[in-house]
Amino acid sequence: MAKLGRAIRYLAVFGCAAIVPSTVLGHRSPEQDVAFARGVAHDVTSGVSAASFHTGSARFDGEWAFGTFLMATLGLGQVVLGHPEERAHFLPAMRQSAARLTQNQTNAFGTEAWGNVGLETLAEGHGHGYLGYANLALSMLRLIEPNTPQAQVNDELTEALAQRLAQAPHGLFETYPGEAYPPDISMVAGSIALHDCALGLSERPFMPAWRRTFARYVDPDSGLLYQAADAATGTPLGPPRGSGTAIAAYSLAFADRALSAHLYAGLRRQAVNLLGFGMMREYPAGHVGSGDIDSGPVLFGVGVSATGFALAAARLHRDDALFTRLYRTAELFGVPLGDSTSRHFMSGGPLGNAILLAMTTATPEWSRHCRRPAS
Amino acid sequence: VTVPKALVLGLGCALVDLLGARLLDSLGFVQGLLAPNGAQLLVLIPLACVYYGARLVTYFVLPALVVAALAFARPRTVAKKAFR
Repeated sequence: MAKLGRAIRYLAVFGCAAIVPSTVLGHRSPEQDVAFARGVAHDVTSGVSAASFHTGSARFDGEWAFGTFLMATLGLGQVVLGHPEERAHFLPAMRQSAARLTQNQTNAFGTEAWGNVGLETLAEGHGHGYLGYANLALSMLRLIEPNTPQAQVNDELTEALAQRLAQAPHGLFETYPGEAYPPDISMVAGSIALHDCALGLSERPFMPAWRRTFARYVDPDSGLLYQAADAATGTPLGPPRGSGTAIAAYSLAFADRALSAHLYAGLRRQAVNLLGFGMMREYPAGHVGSGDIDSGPVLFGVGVSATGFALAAARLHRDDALFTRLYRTAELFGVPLGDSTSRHFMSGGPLGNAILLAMTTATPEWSRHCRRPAS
Repeated sequence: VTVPKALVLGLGCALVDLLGARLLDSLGFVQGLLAPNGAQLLVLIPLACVYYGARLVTYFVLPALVVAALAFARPRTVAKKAFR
């Protein structure tokens, strides 16, 4: 009898742990998206800068401020695509974030690495691959507001990045001197495609060849994207990783849905399901690594960035089951606070909240808003 | 675990979960963790451990405790009444 009682207790504990948390968490509504967007809009209009972060590295502080403006612009834009009635409300914050992305102060981390200002050397310059991120945000703003004050810089940046991509012998150019990252280049490609979508331009002639070349950076065994490679030889460096694959699956959805889907298939194999809570492994089987500035903390093989970025990939590829599991995890550890007016995640901070907004509101519907190509 | 104990524990953890999040938020949890200020970390890290511990217990352990307590409470109550 005592054994039966103990068995019932264990069954109750396991049953409740398996059912209750996954039932209570993981629910979102369009109204919550709008409230969350209000929280992020408030963050970016109240003085976020590199000085708001204290990672211990000036480059990373700058990158985090840059990332906050980038993700806020993307997230707010996606919310506006789903809620056109909110356009007037969020457009000022989008404009402000986009303007901050193009300021020298925000790009100081890149200037320090290259010794020149990326946005001031567009015509004759090379490298500065991180500018693909800024350009994706500018292109999103362009999709929402075609005659935005940032239109000229978006055009010039797109042309410069397209030229660098077309001339790259192995489909890559450098983010920083001596450092090239396929996930960054996927941002470059996505930003060019979204710019062209916003203006109703046809696909650029070099893109099909670039796609074929870029596919070499997908590890055939795991289906994940290599995080780094040698731009001069096209040789992958280091292991393929979940965080880079997830962000590339998001950005490439703007340029090549099939390639994005291919990456997502690999990423999906990295998913961990624990009692209905989803997480993503940072490294594929056979590779071991620790956390870094890209992956965030890696605990028991699970990466924070890979898990967060995979939210967008799951949404873009209409994988509701995995999205819900991942969102439960974000809700459990992120801790949403606020009300129907404004929401934010307690453990997000300005960058984390902006990322979560962009990742949870990613939508394949962006393509419906493209201008029709001129005949 | 008896029903009253399970309920008191549940209420306590739910309160920590509810109020702790607001407290950590008002203390600037993320900015505090990133800031190289030892004194702030000394406060934030233990608070965060208690908070997340309570949150995990609230979602993953308490429902089971309450269910188990309720499941085993009825026979005892019946037995006590019969004894009286």
